[in-house]
Amino acid sequence: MATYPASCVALEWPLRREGRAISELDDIDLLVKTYRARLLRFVTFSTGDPDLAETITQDCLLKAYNARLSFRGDSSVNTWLTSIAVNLIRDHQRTQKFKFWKQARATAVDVTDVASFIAVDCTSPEQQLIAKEQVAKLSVIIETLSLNQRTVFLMKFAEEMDLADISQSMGMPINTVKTHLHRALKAVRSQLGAQ
Amino acid sequence: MNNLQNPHLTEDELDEVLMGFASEDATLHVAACEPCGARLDVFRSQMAVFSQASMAWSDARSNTISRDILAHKPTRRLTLTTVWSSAATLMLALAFSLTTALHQGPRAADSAVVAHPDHDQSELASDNEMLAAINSEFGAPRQAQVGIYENVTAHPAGARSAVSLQVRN
Repeated sequence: MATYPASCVALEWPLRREGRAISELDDIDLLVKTYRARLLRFVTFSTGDPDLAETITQDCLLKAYNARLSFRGDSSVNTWLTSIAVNLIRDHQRTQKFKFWKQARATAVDVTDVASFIAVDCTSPEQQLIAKEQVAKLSVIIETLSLNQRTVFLMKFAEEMDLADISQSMGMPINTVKTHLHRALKAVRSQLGAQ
Repeated sequence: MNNLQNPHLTEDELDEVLMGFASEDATLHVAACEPCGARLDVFRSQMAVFSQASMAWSDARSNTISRDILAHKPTRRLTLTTVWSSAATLMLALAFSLTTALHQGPRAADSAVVAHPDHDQSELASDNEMLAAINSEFGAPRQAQVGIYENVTAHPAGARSAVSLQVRN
């Protein structure tokens, strides 16, 4: 299961107002504070474009806030937000503009920049260097996956969502999710071993 | 597990353990087998480092974005459908305006004629006179010119030169 900050866990406890499950969705500042970084990471590594990811993340949070009355509480807020993000990513992927920028790689994720954020506590400089290389390597490998494989892989191993939540967010049967996940994992592990 | 010679889990079985839908045997094996557990730990530790670093990076980047989501205007990107429908609408509008202009063109000319009736009437009268003169010129009976070719039938060998001579004359 995904680990959330204490404030988030407290807010996940459903309050009831007019028969509707409400949570932090009514407080947009808290919504942003709790979920934006997580969403931004997911969208960034799904699209491979940090600038586009910022726009999609903001769109996603605004869309969720505006549609908060339609949230029935069948899933967690995180799953609901992720499904909105997935739809927005798909919309952008369909546009020619996205394809152009994807080919141009003008604003690709700077893997060195990401790797520089590894925790520095209790590790030697050599271990830090190895860890940085691993993060950079993994970032590059994830980019080589197809969109579905990459999205499912990130949901499972970065967002730590379970298969049912991934299936709901992606709008796919669980068996399809398993297939994408299996292919993605196979590709990532073989490339990690090969390099 | 492969077989008796290699009792460790296959790559596919290890993948299944990582994905969380391995068989009970495979799960028990991983718990007891150090080499298989170590192979899983390599991947898990790499993913843990990646998750931590990417989350820290995303946190830092998120803090640079405005927290005022309500001020954010959702992007409306042009999809292919939108572009094509816009182009089709534009073409229809253009075709409609052209058709309208073509229909209105002669009417404008008519209104110009109406604006100068005297000048138009006199011009029309002179044109009619000219047409009547041409008709009378063409309508007048003329003598048939066939007779001038009579020598041609009489001298078939020099027919072509005879014709050309007659035509020149």
